Amino acid sequence: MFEITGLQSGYGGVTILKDVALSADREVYAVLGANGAGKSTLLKTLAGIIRPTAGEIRFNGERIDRLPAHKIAALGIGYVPQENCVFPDLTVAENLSIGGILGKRSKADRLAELYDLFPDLQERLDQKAGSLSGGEGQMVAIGRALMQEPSVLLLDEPTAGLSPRYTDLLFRRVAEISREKQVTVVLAEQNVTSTLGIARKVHVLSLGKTHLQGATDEVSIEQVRQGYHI
Amino acid sequence: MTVEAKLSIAGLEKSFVGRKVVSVDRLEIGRHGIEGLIGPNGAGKTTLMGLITRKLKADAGTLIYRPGGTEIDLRQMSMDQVARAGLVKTNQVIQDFETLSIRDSLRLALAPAEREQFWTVFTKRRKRDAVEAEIDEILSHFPFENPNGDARSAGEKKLLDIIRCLLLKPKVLLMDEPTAGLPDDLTRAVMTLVQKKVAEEDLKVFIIEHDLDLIWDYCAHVNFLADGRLLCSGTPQEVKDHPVVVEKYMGVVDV
Amino acid sequence: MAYLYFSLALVAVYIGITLLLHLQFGRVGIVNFGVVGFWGLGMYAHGVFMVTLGLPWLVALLLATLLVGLFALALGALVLRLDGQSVLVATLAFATIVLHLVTTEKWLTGGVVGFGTIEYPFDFGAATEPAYLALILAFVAVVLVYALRLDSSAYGRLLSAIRDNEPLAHGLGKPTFRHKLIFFAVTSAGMGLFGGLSASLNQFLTPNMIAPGVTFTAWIALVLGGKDHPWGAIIGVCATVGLFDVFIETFAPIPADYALLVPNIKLMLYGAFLVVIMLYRPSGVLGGYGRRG
Ligand SMILES: Nc1ncnc2c1ncn2[C@@H]1O[C@H](COP(=O)(O)OP(=O)(O)OP(=O)(O)O)[C@@H](O)[C@H]1O
Ligand SMILES: Nc1ncnc2c1ncn2[C@@H]1O[C@H](COP(=O)(O)OP(=O)(O)OP(=O)(O)O)[C@@H](O)[C@H]1O
Ligand SMILES: [Mg+2]
Ligand SMILES: [Mg+2]
Repeated sequence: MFEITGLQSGYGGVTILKDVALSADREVYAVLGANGAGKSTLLKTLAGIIRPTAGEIRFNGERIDRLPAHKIAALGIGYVPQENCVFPDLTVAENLSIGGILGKRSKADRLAELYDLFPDLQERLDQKAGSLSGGEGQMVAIGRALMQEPSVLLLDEPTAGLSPRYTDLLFRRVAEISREKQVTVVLAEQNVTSTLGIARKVHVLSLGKTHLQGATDEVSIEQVRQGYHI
Repeated sequence: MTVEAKLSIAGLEKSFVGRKVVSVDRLEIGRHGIEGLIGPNGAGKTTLMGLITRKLKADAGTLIYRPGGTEIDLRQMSMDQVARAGLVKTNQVIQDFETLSIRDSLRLALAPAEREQFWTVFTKRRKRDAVEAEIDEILSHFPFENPNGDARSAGEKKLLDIIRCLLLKPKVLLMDEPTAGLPDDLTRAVMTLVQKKVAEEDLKVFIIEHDLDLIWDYCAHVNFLADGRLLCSGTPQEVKDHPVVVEKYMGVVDV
Repeated sequence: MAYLYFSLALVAVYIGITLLLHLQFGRVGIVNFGVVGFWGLGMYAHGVFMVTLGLPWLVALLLATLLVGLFALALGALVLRLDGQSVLVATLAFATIVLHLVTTEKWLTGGVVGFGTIEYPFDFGAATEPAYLALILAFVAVVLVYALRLDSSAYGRLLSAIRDNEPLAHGLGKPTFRHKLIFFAVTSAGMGLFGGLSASLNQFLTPNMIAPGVTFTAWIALVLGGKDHPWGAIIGVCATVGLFDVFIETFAPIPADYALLVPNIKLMLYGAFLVVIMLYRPSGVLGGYGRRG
């Protein structure tokens, strides 16, 4: 259970997000909006990378908005950033093990599950993550977060750079883990149609403010698109 | 009459630690206005473009570039020479200049080499209205909130990268997943501008995308690359229905 | 009084080389840890050209500057393609080699015995020292004006682009390596020029003058003041060399018994300054360019 109220956040004195509230519980929660709307800023704030200047973030009732990023990760909140998402000088295997430190089940099981999703990774294990192709790097970043077996997964445009096949498979996997493993997924995306297909709730940001939020069944795609034309 | 290709590639090969990543027997670019390159992740698409722009050195093969009447052997050139000769690539992975504002970043692209020399710092500065007008013109196509500010979000940086390359007035523009991270309407705005430039100027475009709608809608010709090899090419319709493409690349229907 | 002019001239020389270091590191990101090598080579070359070869002062100065520039060009061609650490090590090694050769090649440099006498270029009686200080300040002013104008020039923008993301600038058709190399060679030659100017100031040269301390002082001053601003170099030098070598040594009444301790205390305080700055203002007193969160 993730609950955010009155959130305000930004960079070095510049406020970007203003008065954002949301609650997500064991479901796919889509965050949409134009470039610069504040999607990444919201996810960075939830992950503890930047500190909110006002408002509360609660996770299962506990306030976490004052915790440093590593403590937030230790609570079972996995984060896939949009940029610089792998450790370039570590190998793929090492990148994945970093996520693996936190999970509960045996590492081999989790790896097997990951290779089932992204078979390509298995062939690249000893390669430095910095030399991977764009899509392969994205798979490693997602893989690292999945290895953590998080109870909340923050995904910032995870399908950017993935082939159509992997995009479909990833959406399918995301829907599956939220349904079967009761994982809360906060998903920032540009791919509106596919995202609305798996999300239960949608939140459209526009210039740092909430343009629209609600259950996906009750929101039309036109309403969503309006949030992009300001 | 067939149009002469701007870029002819033959026997091009590149290996990383013993693994052959690119192995393209023949590829001609520039017969069609906008041409597409698709293929699975890790197929070697970005590497192929890196070989063309001389960011990477090929192990074997020839690369002939024909900007005007002349033929240029690209293997003799460095990446900056290639770019100045009109062969430019946008970046797949987000790249930016941390301390340059949007406008400065575009001025950089437009600055001629003779103004960027050690001693020009002391020469008198002229106001360059033509440059500013050109920047204003291209920015008017896109919704930058404040063109004098910084591009900070991923999408803003990506868009800026494309605009920078367009300002260089390339003859061949290689676009590596230009629209990943851009919303649909902006994707269309970018492609409409590119289409306009292709129609009006001497510009050919070669574009990598995983956004297949974009490929089918805008490309006259599509190439499919897998495991470093060109497995098929043709019109969008031909490629779309090609069994190899469907098997190796296309999405799975039931989501 | 003459000693005060000497101290002020020393501060001016430090401002000169620290400004050049600001250009190299703050502007382009070249980690030059061999400042004293370029400066020392310029100083000794100027001395040798004047005293041993009997060349006129100005000719000797120009030749010394040129010589240092050529060495920098060769060194830069070898290492500027490599990463920051390699450049650091290579420049440090260069300075060490210069120090070593100056010490061992007695026939040329006099070795540890020293080398002299390098006269002032003019003799105005009591006005000689102030006039020479003014000359050095004129050169400092040129470097300062250059550094300030860089900010709003096309060339400065290009250098920022190279510092921020060299491959990206390269891909936009900028010959980044050539620009870096020329910039490094010219600014290092500038360090050699200030070395040449220091020769007449010191009159008599010994190897201990070109110990690594000079490099470290310039770096500490730059980091203290703020590497991204020309004024940072000036503030930094005034707060270090200016404070200790001019203010305290000239004006503070330090009992003779303690005078020997001053250099040590100075180094300790430099270190302490640096720690405090790093903790509370990591981009130096004047802060940085970056506005990144
Ligand atoms: N420097 C390198 N060292 C080792 N392997 C590399 C290097 N650069 C690329 N590769 C490998 O070469 C293959 C092709 O990479 P490339 O970036 O060309 O793929 P791509 O087709 O652009 O894929 P994507 O769609 O994911 O961007 C990848 O499997 C990658 O891991
Ligand atoms: N590090 C930063 N420093 C200062 N401003 C920033 C920084 N990162 C982002 N911004 C600004 O904050 C605003 C929101 O950016 P954010 O990255 O959250 O957008 P986004 O919705 O994720 O966009 P995109 O779709 O392009 O990824 C933008 O105006 C952006 O310029
Ligand atoms: Mg973002
Ligand atoms: Mg690629």
